[in-house]
Amino acid sequence: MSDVEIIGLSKDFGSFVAVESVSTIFREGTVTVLLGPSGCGKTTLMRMIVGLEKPTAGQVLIGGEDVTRVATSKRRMGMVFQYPVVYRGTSVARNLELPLIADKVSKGERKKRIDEVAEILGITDLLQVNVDKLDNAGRQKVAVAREVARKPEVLLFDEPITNVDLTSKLELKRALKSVFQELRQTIIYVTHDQTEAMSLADDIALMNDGKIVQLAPPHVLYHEPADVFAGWFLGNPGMNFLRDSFVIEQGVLTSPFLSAPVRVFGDAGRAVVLGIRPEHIGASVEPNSNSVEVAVTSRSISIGGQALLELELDGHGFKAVVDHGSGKKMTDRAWITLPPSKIFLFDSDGRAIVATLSGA
Amino acid sequence: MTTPDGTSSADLPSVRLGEASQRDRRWTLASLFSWVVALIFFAPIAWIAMSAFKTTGQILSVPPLFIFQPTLENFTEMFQDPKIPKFFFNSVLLSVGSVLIAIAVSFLAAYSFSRFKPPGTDFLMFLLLSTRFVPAAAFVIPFFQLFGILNFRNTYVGLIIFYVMFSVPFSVWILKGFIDGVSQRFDETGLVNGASRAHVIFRVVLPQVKPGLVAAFVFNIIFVWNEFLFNFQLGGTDTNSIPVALFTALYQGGAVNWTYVSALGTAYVLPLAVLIYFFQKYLLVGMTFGTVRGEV
Amino acid sequence: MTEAVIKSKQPELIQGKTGKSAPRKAKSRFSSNTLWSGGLLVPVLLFFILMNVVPTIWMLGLSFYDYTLTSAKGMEFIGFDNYTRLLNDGPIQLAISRTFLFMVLAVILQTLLGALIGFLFWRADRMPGRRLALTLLFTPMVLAPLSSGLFWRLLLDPVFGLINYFISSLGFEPVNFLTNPDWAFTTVLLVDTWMWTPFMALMTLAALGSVPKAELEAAQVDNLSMWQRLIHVIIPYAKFIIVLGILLRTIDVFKTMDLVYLMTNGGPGDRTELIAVGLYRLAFQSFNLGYSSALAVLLLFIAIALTSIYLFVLNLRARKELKDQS
Repeated sequence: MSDVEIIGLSKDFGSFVAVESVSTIFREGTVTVLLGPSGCGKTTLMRMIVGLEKPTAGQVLIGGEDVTRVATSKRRMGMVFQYPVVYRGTSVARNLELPLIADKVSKGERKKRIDEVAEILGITDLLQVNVDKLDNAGRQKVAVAREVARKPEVLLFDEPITNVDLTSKLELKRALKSVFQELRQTIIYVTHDQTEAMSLADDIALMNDGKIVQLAPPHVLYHEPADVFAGWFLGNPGMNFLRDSFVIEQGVLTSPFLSAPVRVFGDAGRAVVLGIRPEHIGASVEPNSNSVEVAVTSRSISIGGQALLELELDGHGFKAVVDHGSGKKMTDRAWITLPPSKIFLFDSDGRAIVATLSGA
Repeated sequence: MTTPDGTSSADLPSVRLGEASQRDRRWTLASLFSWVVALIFFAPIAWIAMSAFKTTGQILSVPPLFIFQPTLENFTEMFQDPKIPKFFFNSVLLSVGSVLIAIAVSFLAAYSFSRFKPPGTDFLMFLLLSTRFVPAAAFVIPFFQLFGILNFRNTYVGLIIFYVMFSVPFSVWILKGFIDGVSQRFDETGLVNGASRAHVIFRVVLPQVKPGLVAAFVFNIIFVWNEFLFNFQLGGTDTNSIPVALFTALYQGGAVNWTYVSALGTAYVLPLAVLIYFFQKYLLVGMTFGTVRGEV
Repeated sequence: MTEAVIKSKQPELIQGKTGKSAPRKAKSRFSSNTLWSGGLLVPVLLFFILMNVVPTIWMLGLSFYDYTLTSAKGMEFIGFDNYTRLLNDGPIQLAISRTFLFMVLAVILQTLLGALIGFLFWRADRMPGRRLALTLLFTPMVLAPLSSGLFWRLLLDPVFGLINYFISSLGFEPVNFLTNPDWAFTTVLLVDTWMWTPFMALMTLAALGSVPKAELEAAQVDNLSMWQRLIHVIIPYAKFIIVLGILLRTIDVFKTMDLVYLMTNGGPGDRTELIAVGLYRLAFQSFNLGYSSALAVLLLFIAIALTSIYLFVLNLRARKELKDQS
């Protein structure tokens, strides 16, 4: 049992609050990604878990044991840093071996573990190479291998692929994915990159302003954002928020964005913001029975041959993603459809309202 | 990498961490030992400073006095001697005068070395550094004779010219390092926008190397303030500085006048200690003649 | 963080491009650059020629003459005789080997002690009043060696000196530190160590500061032993600055004069006569200008050799940093 539990963990730097009373559990055998914009406190949170930062308040428990006052070196955790750390002037194999010697692992076991992990990460051929000769991606693989070989109960990754060039990023990501599949440890992974988070995580802990906004599997986070921040941060571009763009009366929502009123099931009385993801907006050149006419204010090509449209209706600006072909034809007018099941409602504090919408 | 000029201090996290470490100050075994070591190294100087407040009898007392009635007599007596203010004046004039000139000419040269890299740059930089690595005594004779011919002996002009050269190597080295750290993009942008070279040098580059200028100024002042041999040999009663005053005190009238030595010594050390306190972050670059940059 | 001053590897001005489209303009730009690069150097070159080149040539010239101020003979050209005399001069050679011994002992002592103290202060990076403590620690090295020598004469006085008070209160006989032939060399060595250990502590602090924080943290997470951290994390980064410090100390020992001159004037006998002191005594106590100039030339060559070694290490480090960045 080596869940990582944190209770009321806080960290201030002077008057700046980096992490504000965070409590959560990172379950054993799960890859939890701490995701959030830079400055949201995710790295500070991780550094407190490993003990490199002293919490202002709160506790860190590993497998139920309070380690808040235990020195970093005694916590038996592994950590891969953003800056690829290798021990200079020695071979890759020696790099992997050093912490094992410190941990008093027997010689035979050391060799076994090194060969094993080298195999997983595809660095068997590099074992005798001097680490100084490797590029950043190679060094980061060595760092990952070194931590994995130690078989710590908890493995932490602090934006491990940020300092690696673009082509090596994919390769390193694949390597990490295969490592994660092999391991059954508690893994916590910090990143600000949502696609990285989506592809690696079992659970994502979304952070903002020093707090965990939502902890959920990636698809849940995407389909059921807990608040406007979650809706905006996940997805590219983020969710559209249309404030004061609808009226709900007796369980029926009416809005200029919808050709017909829709029914709302649930307590939607407090709803003031309507959310819809750009990729969920159906847009076409020709009007049809349930579409609404909007103005096209600008158009740009985004990745994957898709067109990103900036649209306007009733003084509300919003975005939609359509395929390149049809996007090309929408010069100043377009007809859009909002599928009711993809519409989210939020209250005035930005919190999601549990409600289901369906066509009348 | 942070540079000693503090250009990176604008990014917030490091400032925040700085505040945090201010708050997190605490006593550990290491900090306790560090203080003990610092006090041991300072103790001899502290003893001299203590002696400065003793009477002759108290200084020469056996066993030494740790507790005594301090007197300011040594200082009042010392400054009544008209020669003493003169020594201080000379020390200040020679150091400030020569260092200002040295920094001005060194800045221009450092800019040229950094930006145009004229042929022989490396060789000249090498020669400049090597002049600081020669035992001073090696050059005393030629200077002594040369100054005799030029009628420079015991003149401010002569000594200032000498101390300019004495300060130039370190100034060029440190300023070139700092100017190298200013991207050439700044120069290019300025020139492309029609600014003159002089504008680029003085209005664009100069403000960005202020920390280098400060470091060069402070440490050259210290070096000239401390210089003894040349002031002793090339100077005279009109131009002698404090180290020479200390030296001659040793041989005045047979026995050493210890109250005079400790009072003058204390008055001489105090500015140095204050400079070290306020300009600690330039100490590394200062003590390595501008070849290693960084803070401690 | 610390960085050696690196030769700028930034791209040259965009002259090349303008050269293709507007050759005339580029040419005028080029010549104006030459003018500027030369013009800016003029003041420093003037000072350098007047205050370095001329005295050096003067010194070289003197070294070929037999010229003693106190003798009525006047100047006589004797070619390389001064140099051949140097090769057979027992006292000078003894002074050189004594300087070498002093150098080795002082550098080892100061490096080890300085490393220890630097390490201590590095560990105590959050000590209360750190800046003041560092000021106290660093003050000895910024004092004029002359004043240190003077201060220590008071402290080491056999009758009323503080040190002898401690020694006799421990039950030992007072020692005539500066005039006892058995003690003088050691005493000067220890005073030099007092002065310059802070310098090696400073270099150690800078060296330790050049170790990336992430690597130290990784070693902490990996539970590496102190020894492993030293060998695989600290030394690979710290070694350059430590070596630079050692070289600077070596060069400085070679220059040591004021301190010794004031404390012992090379004595008793020649017990503390380091080469720089010997040179000074030769010039200003024997007034043997020709011969002392020959010795000065020799020391100049040694200084140039030491400078080359120093810059070699400095460039080695700069190159390694550039490589690491790319």
